[in-house]
Amino acid sequence: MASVLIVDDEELSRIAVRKLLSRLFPSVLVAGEAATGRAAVELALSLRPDVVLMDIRIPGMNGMEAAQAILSGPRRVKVIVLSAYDSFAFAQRAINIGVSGYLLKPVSEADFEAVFGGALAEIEEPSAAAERGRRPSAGAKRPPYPLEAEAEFFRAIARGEGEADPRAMVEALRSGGPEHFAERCLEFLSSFKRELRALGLSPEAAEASGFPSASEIASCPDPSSLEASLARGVVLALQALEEARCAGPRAAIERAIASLPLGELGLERVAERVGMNPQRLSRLFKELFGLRFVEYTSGLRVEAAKTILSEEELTVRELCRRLGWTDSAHFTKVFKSRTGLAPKAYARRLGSVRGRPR
Amino acid sequence: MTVESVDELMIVAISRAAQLAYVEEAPGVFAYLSAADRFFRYHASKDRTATLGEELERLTDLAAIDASFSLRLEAPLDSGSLFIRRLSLIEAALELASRPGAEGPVLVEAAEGEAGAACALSRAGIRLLVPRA
Repeated sequence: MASVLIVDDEELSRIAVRKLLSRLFPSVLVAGEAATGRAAVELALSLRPDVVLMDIRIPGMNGMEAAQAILSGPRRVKVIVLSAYDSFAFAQRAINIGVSGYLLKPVSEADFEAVFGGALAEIEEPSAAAERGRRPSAGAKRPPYPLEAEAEFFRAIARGEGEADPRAMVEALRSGGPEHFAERCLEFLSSFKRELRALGLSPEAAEASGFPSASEIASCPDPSSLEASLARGVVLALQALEEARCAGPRAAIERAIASLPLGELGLERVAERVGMNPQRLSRLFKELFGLRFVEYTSGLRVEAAKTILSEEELTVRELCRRLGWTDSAHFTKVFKSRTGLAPKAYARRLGSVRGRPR
Repeated sequence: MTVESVDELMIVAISRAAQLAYVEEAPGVFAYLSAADRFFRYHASKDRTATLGEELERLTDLAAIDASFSLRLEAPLDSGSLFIRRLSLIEAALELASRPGAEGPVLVEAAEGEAGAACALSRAGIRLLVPRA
């Protein structure tokens, strides 16, 4: 069964692509969705999709850079660019880096079927391509996805106070038979993440609370163990949602910051984790914390630097590398403004206090 | 805002609206907005030339989005390899349609003629002097 990763920072575009896939290629699994280039590269490595549908203008690493990174990886994957921009330069660059197709938004079903179908045909055996992935023949029946049960489940989540019944949802997913269970779980996973995001909890937070990932679902051979882990994951994600509702956005931001290594701590990554765009997070951060995001994280890095210097002897360059700080001169300036001493002088003072030369 | 940024914003807005129409299963609205998206994208392009075939397709899109403008394509044309000045046919068609007393659709027909002469105006409509397909 072919799988696809959808990369677009606009939720509407991702929904439109999912709809195109479900109508034209119902057996293709949507393994995951990403809103930034960096997340796309990471998910392409972990989920190993067969096809990546990539928007160009996305935050941070743009779609072309992300496509290049994915195509230079060890696994064969097809990348199809899906963009609102019909610039010749973009199309030329796309061809040069080896993408399989270029689709212009809004995508018609005919164009999507031709380009995506072509990519599928290249990755599958010709005979298998005819059999799998394509629109089913009139005789082939696929049980309908339990949309009403899902909608009721989401309404219950929105009402809060533990009204949502994960067991009933899992039961509805199971009702199509074991051969369709994993496929339905993946569809549900994607909708569930979207719902959590709309309610203010990041999908990453949901996954961190134990929800099975798309790759785990796709590779799980046993429906009963999948059912148990799905139910457990949903319960834990709902608990996380309740906690987030109680704690408010400040706690969610603090949790996101704490969950990232200092070397990767940036506005974009934190925004991704709390499920909002970087500009909005920047404004909200100033309101909630009374200082800019960069000032806050600089403080965290200086504190971490002090801890490291108390334990190890490092050059300033190495120290910066560990903290994710690219400009060592700037780091020295910030460190000095906060501690009154440059990092080297600070380390020397620590050494003299402890009676050992530094 | 510059003219270019307004054009870009308008195209992106139409494109998003078309996607929304698709998601909300409104095929007529999707087709209408897709035609508008193609036409305005073509109109905003900085390219000086286009193939006759592309210009004819955008003329058809214009007829789809502008109820006051109707078009009749009489014959298939071998129009893919003939380059014309971008928007020349569209401007001529609009000019013709807006003439006082003009009635009925603008007619585009294939006719024997000298290749390279993109179009000629006539009382009957726009008469294209291009080789037949």
